[in-house]
Amino acid sequence: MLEVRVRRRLATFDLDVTFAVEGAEILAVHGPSGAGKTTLVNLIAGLDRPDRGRIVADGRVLFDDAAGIDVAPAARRIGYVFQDGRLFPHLSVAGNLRYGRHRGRGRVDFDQVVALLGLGPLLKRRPRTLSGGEGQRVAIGRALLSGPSLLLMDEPLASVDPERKAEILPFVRRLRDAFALPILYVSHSADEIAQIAERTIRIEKGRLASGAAPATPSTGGPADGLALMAVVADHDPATQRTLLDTPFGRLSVPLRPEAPGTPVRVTVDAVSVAPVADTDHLAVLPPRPAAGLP
Amino acid sequence: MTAAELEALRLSLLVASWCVVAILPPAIGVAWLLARHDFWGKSLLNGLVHLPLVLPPVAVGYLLLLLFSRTGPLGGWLHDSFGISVAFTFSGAVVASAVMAFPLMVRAVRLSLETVDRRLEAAARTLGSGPVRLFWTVTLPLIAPGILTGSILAFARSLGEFGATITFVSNIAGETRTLPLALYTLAQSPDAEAGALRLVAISIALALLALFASELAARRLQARLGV
Repeated sequence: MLEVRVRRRLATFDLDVTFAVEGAEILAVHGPSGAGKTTLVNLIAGLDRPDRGRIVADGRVLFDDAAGIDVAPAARRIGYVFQDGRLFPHLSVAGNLRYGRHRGRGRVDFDQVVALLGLGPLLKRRPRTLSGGEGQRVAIGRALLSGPSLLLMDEPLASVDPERKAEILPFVRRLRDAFALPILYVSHSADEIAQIAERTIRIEKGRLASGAAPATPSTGGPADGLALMAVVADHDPATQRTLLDTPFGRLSVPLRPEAPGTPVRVTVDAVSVAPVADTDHLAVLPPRPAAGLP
Repeated sequence: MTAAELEALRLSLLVASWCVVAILPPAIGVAWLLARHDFWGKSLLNGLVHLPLVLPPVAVGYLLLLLFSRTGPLGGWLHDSFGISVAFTFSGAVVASAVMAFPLMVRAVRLSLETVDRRLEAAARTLGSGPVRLFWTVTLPLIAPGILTGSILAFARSLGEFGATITFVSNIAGETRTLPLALYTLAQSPDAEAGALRLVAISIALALLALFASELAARRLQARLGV
């Protein structure tokens, strides 16, 4: 659980956002470079200080300018996976993983994390000998093992080869399920977000982009859209529409020729998503055809 | 080698070792202040620390003598409160070396502190490290090469210290007569060329040994840090 309401003056604009993460969900923070995404994450972690606002995580007030509360990052119990890994070069992989496990912070089972992230063969290695993908898996494990109540991931796959991304993304989802951990996942890649996030907020020039109300399952700028991996669930000849299963739930699109069970890829514009009355699914309004996968 | 020459070698090594040990903690502290903090009087502190590097060593020795003599402000207090006398003693030789070597140590440590990746320290803070644990577990290991370099420089500076030492604690055999002072003494006396040459040879051997050891240690450290 996380509630954030922060204002922070930046060089050319003000970062001013309010949002919440409910329970163990993956909330994606999306937006162009320089929109203030990393600043937002640093404010939550305590590495940067809001000018005004209030941050509550797991029922603990971490920052409140009115009450004069500003908990040190060391005491926030927030795991942070950085874009650039930041593994300690003077420690082995095992040493890095154990770094955050001190003073009763070792609640998370070491072997479970090592198994989950496939770190067993890496334990004795030095960080500089790891590939980008291996390094980020270690960084995720290190953050997880410090026993956080919330995990922040700032573009964790930015320095990872495209082929290796597919190797890590499933881990992130498994984390959330295995540890019931809320995750704030910053990315500018619509693909990554489509694969893991339940919910997305979009930040542009320090503000939540309009139409990105926190309850909307998916958003994306008209320019970059949002790509979803989906499976054809059912056809409804009466309404001439096809239902697709996506990571965000069911999606109704104009009738498709593919048989149920066929994987397809859908591109969705934020402006084209609307709830359908009396159902639990969303509809893509303009008939923008989904392209079948080869 | 004569007993006197051995004594000089022993004294030199002892003074240099004590000098490094004594200045290590304060040098790291001052380097930390200079590298990480802005405060009123920072330039003054910086200048004061570096003064022995630019002053004639004899002037430093004379200032120490004024400070630490029985009638001097520090020496009088030390003598009256603890019965300690520094001038013309072995500890005085360590003090003279320490003052001369201090700026070298501070410079080396400060330089390596300035190259420490602050992002690693931020990561350590999100992993629950307060300032003290952060220093011992991340910052200190990362500046280890700088501390090693500073220690070697300070050790070498101490081995070669002459002007401040002879002015402050004089040239007393078995107490303050280190290698350079013994060499000076021999060079002053007739028919002592063989002894002087032996001391020069010892000095060269010592210098080469120190360089070799530091090179080895530096390589190990760098392999560990993966630089």
